[in-house]
Amino acid sequence: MRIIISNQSELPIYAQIKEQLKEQILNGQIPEGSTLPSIRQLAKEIGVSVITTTRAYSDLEAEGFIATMQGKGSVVLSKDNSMLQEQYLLRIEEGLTTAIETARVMGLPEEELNRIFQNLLHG
Amino acid sequence: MLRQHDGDEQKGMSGNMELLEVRNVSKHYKNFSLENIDFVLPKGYIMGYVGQNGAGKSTTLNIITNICKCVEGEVYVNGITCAEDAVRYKEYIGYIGDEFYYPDNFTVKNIRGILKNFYTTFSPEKFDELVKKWKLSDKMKVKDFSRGMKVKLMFASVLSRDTKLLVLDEATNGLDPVMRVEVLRLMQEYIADGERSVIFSTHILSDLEQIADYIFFIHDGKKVLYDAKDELLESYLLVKGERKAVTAELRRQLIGMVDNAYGFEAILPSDKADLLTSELYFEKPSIDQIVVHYIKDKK
Amino acid sequence: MRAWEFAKIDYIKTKQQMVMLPVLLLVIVTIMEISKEGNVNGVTLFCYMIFMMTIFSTQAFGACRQQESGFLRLLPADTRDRVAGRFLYGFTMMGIAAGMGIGTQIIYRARGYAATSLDFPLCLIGFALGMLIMTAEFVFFYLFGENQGQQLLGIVRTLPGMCFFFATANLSSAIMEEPEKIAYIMQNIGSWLRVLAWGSAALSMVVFLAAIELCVKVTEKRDY
Repeated sequence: MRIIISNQSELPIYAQIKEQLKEQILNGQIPEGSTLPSIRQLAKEIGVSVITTTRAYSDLEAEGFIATMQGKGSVVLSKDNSMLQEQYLLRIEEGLTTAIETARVMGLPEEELNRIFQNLLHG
Repeated sequence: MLRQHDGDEQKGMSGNMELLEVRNVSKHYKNFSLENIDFVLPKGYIMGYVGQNGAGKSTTLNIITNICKCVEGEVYVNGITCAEDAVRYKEYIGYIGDEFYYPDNFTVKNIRGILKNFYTTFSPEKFDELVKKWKLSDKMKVKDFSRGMKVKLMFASVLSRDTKLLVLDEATNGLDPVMRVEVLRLMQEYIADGERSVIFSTHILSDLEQIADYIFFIHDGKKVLYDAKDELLESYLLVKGERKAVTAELRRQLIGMVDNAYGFEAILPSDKADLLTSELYFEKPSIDQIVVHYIKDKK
Repeated sequence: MRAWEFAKIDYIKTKQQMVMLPVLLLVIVTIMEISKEGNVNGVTLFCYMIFMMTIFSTQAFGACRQQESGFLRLLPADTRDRVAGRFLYGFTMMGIAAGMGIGTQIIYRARGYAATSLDFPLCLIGFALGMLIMTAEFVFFYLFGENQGQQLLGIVRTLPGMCFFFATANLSSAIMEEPEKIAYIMQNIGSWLRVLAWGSAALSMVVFLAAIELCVKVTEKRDY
């Protein structure tokens, strides 16, 4: 687990924590079923306020990434829960949209784009 | 306005959630009055008490520690007032002031003895451990200590007791950056178990920016702002631009407008952001900037 | 008892000045030894020690910066403990002075000084007077502020000295004028001097205790 807080960032601190944790959960660096450090532990370690950390965690909980259980701390949820599925689909869509937009900018024909996609998928 | 962020605090729900309650406290001096200060600090959080010199920060903190008595209103620490049980009340509080408060010719050994005699929860072992860790001389008179050593000694004497509330009055003043960071870390460690709280005053606001959960901003003995820090930071925008780009309606909402030769700077409540035009530049403010612009308006 | 703990703090605070006391005693004794002609006796020395102590014991106030007073106020105790502790300190200091006075008397007797039956009541009166002066000084400090600092300290310290000076000066001139009458009084004084001595000692204790009550009341109503 890795969290870097930047004062230069336009994102508020709670959002920086949230985004970085989300990123690491999605790419598997933080495996499902693992326990995140407690809110107070994390706040102390990275030197931010408890309320800020609480907010990051409760946002992650609302988005279905983690579940907070009394006495057990916050656990990273399995990737096949529906809310997380939606997050994944959203990411796929985002990535593809970028590809399509770039193709349009350079005027790439649709068949060519399809071919690249198929190549990447199977290659 | 104040949101309660409980999160993992369920276990605390059985007892009293507020560690510090300041209720309608007023204090009148010949040429200064503290008026109707009212706030709460829940268990396990840090409050930054902000204001200019002479705004009433120390007065408030002295009322909380009961150094300063004869006030209107009530102060509860962990549910009791000082009048109810002075001894228990004072055992709950650990105070570190801007100025060193041990008599000049005391040694660390003297102080250890006094703390041991007075405080039932004082742990000599913990004290010795901290004294050793911070390399505080046992035999030297405290008047010969450096500012950093004095602060460390005050921290050692407070942290070796089982206190509930840490009251820090400009404790980071005159400390080098390394020591300041260390003090901030100590504060965070102190509240880590969720049962104890810290209230600290400072005018070095960058100290507050990260670790404070709540901000109370006092000016001329009166409350100006009081909210969770994150809420506060999000409730305002720092607006910059050319004066002529400001509409009359926007002007009414801007707080503490400061002009210079090439433009202006002010803060604006976030919910009035729709008044901003594309010619104006805005960004998230720091606590510093919010305070500076608010004070500018109060003058 | 917390009052006693406060007294100990005062003791640590004024320790340095107290070291001077035996040195001072030695100096006085030496001077008196050299100037043989004066009527050196144990009573004068005893009273001198008591008197010096009324000055020294105010040091507990002088060494009190505002912040230190804050520290004392932070300690878990009532105002009563704190004030009583200061008075207890004063009382102990007077006790130490009396002890030193008695010590010098013993030395003098060992060297052949003939003690009279008046020595004890006179010393007791001296002690009572010293207690009253110390009490008055302490009350003065509590009434006008514990932390008024060096100026007040200066005034309070010189006041009993001046009183003592004028009192003794007048008394000695009175003795010079009518030596026979005084001698007559002195002969018959023995019995009721004892009464006076015990009376004044009792009175000083009553005043001492009342003063503590007064100072507690005053301090409870004050911020600093």
